[in-house]
Amino acid sequence: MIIRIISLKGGIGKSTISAFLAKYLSEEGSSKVLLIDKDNLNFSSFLINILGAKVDINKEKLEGYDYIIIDYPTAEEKIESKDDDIVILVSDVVTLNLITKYAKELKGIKLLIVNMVSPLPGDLEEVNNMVEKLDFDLKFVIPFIPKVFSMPIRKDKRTEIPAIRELAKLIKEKIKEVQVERSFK
Amino acid sequence: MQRIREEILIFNIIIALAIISWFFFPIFEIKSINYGLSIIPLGFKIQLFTQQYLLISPLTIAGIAFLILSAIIPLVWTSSRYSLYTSLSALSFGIVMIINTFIYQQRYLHFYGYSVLPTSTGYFYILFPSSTIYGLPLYLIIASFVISILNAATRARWLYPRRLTLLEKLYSELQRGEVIKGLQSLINSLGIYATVEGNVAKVEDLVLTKANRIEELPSDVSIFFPKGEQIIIGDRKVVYIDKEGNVEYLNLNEGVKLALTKIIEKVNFNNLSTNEKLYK
Repeated sequence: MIIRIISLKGGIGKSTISAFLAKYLSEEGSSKVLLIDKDNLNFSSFLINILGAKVDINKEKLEGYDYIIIDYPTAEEKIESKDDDIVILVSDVVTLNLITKYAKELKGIKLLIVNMVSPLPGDLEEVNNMVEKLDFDLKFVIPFIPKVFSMPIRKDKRTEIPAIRELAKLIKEKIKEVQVERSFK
Repeated sequence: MQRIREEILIFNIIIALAIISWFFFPIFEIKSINYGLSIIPLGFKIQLFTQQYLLISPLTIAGIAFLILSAIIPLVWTSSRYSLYTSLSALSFGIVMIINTFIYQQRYLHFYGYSVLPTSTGYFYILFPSSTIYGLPLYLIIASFVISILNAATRARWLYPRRLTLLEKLYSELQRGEVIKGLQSLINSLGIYATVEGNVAKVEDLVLTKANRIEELPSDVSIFFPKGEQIIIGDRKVVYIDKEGNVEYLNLNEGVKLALTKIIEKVNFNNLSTNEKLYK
């Protein structure tokens, strides 16, 4: 399964999400995961090393993997996706409208992650209400987590993003259900 | 919505019964074979042989308006004990109006044992053997007046008479949206060293504040680069940011429990005297 991770704006956590998703999918040793780090900063590869995850990075050979995660550079052109791909669109509140328009051109199971939202309950609730109306197969709103933000400096491999762990679980268990549902649409 | 205290409900039930029953039973009645006078919410209902007429009185109308007001005030205004005093005042005005109605009846509709009937050309005096009846609504109004006095005197806490624990006081402040004030009073009661400025309480490196949105956050509290631990109390949820920068969401009750645990943890105050103070 190919998981494409895209954002229209830099600095909103796309590479962090890629690295954590790769880590969670590879956990318990049940799945082989490859991370293709296309971003110019190679930040997701850097984070994989900090997290110490059993994930292959940037291999030429693509066979034999259960999940191939592609961390794209901040999107300037359209990305070609297939119907059975998972496309994760990472956005902040500012680029939410743009990413929604952008997503319409893409194929595949589309997941939206609104990241780095102010963690205060009222702000989070407001963004949740905004996101609820949008047409994506799955939607996540993730608050700003100070520990994740400072992870590259603290190099703490115990850092967690519970929402991405949940996403990995859903991808492992439930994403097939989404595919079945879509085939009947 | 804030929970209405049982003492207030009891008062409201009795005053509601008094108001409703007044529409069916007069507060005061003079009854004889061919003459009758009763005080109803609109004024005086007078009957002579087969004739019947209504003498509309602003006193009874104002009286019933004050009774309704005294019932509504403690239901709508729940944030302060002053609502109980205001309700008692409104009820007192209502009772004064009813007393004035009696005085009016005695002064203008009664003369040396004669009942007075005003006519278009003067007055008509009649003397029938009659009986005087005080109706159910009057007794209910007197009962509600006693309960209202009790509510005002005890801050509506006479049903289970005991002192509130500090924790109960804190929950009560939380329901009113004054959680920092509640925490301040708890900190003071325990004799803990803390600084409280506006909406921010600081105990060692623990910061407690109230904010639902980023713009409500006090300027000296940063959620992006927190120092120490932070507990931010929103309208419906509490955010806890631990020392390492992990974010956790709790409901209001859990959040307040965590705040208390952390305060006690910070000052290493887990000894007998603290426990005694907490539950006193």
